[in-house]
Amino acid sequence: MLRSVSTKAEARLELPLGEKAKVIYKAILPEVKSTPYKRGRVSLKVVGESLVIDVQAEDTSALRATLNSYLRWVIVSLEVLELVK
Amino acid sequence: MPAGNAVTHNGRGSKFGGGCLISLGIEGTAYKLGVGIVTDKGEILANVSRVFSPKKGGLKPREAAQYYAENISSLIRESLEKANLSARDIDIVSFSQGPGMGPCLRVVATAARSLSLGLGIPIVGVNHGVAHIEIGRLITKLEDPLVLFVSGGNTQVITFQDRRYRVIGETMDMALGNCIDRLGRELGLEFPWALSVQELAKRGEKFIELPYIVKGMELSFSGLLTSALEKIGKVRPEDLCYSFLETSFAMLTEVAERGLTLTGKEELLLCGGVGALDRLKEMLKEMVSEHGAKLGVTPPEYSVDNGAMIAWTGILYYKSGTKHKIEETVVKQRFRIEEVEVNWR
Repeated sequence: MLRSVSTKAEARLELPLGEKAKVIYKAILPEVKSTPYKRGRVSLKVVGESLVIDVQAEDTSALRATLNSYLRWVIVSLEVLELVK
Repeated sequence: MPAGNAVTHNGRGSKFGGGCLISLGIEGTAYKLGVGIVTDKGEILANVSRVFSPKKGGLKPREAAQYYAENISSLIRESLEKANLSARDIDIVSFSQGPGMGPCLRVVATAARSLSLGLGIPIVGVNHGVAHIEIGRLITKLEDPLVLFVSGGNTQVITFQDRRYRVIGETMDMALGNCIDRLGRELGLEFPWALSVQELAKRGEKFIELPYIVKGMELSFSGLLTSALEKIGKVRPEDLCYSFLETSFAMLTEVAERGLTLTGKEELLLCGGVGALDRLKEMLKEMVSEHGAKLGVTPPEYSVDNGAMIAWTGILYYKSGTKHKIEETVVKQRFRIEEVEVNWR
């Protein structure tokens, strides 16, 4: 879902990651709490076996940049977890 | 280094001897991504790296972070293969917690947390500057040196006192490595710019006067850089590079000499990427010999940013009682070296 209005853009990503969802959540959560983000806010949670990322941003540029960062971290985490199988 | 009495966390013992700890360290604060594997005996089993090279202009943090993300898992795999280990042989994961560029640090931290959580092993966030010093001490065998740490992001004179590394002199504006890189870029030289500047400088014939700014233990390079950039196209590039390095290295040598006198230390350790440049080593060697002191230079492979220094320092942290909870592993872009309590010395 991607919705954009003049001053606000929102997106929700639901990533079905199976049993890895909780580990990836824990690996990324410190970034949610620490990343300086003045142009909106992010919430992260695990629902079932999916990682759910909600982003609210001032505009679509900020939304895209934030989604890119979070997706990058999710991919890194997934690939590293493949090494420990 | 003496072997410790620590028991391996994974409980399987080590192929490198009973009670041996194996640390995998991930470095990624600027444009070099590195992974190293080191034992608590100081054996470096792997030290591999990949360098982000911008196609145009300077280093853009988000582009570097994307490069990191695309390379980090395969680089970890490469380090394990080089060390002939599997991921499950690793006892500790260490990573560069800062200082550095936020987007890069976050990719590294995410990878380290994932490895720690996936393997169920401790994680240690390491200060980048402390790691440069500790790998230097390990390799050069210097006991208690004054440290000259010169890299793309740092130009500092550091001493150890009361369980902390303390900065007693540093740049007031730009780090020297950054200035050398900028000069190389503006001259249109090849990446890595510092080595290209050095090569050109070796063909320099005429010394050109450039601003030399030292105030006690503080240095300033921004005026030197501006003046050098203004001279591009007006003087031979070879002479400009030669004069730039001579001037800036003389400034460093003066401050290091003052530091030796003030602290009374009898050893000087040169570390950081700029420490790989030959002329700086020559000047410092001459200076310390006049003081009857000893110069230790971290070899280029370990002088530049590298994973082995993070892995080794992670062991020092861990064996002295420091390990971090996952929530304590947030990155610190402006992580000062004085913040670290050095419990292992």
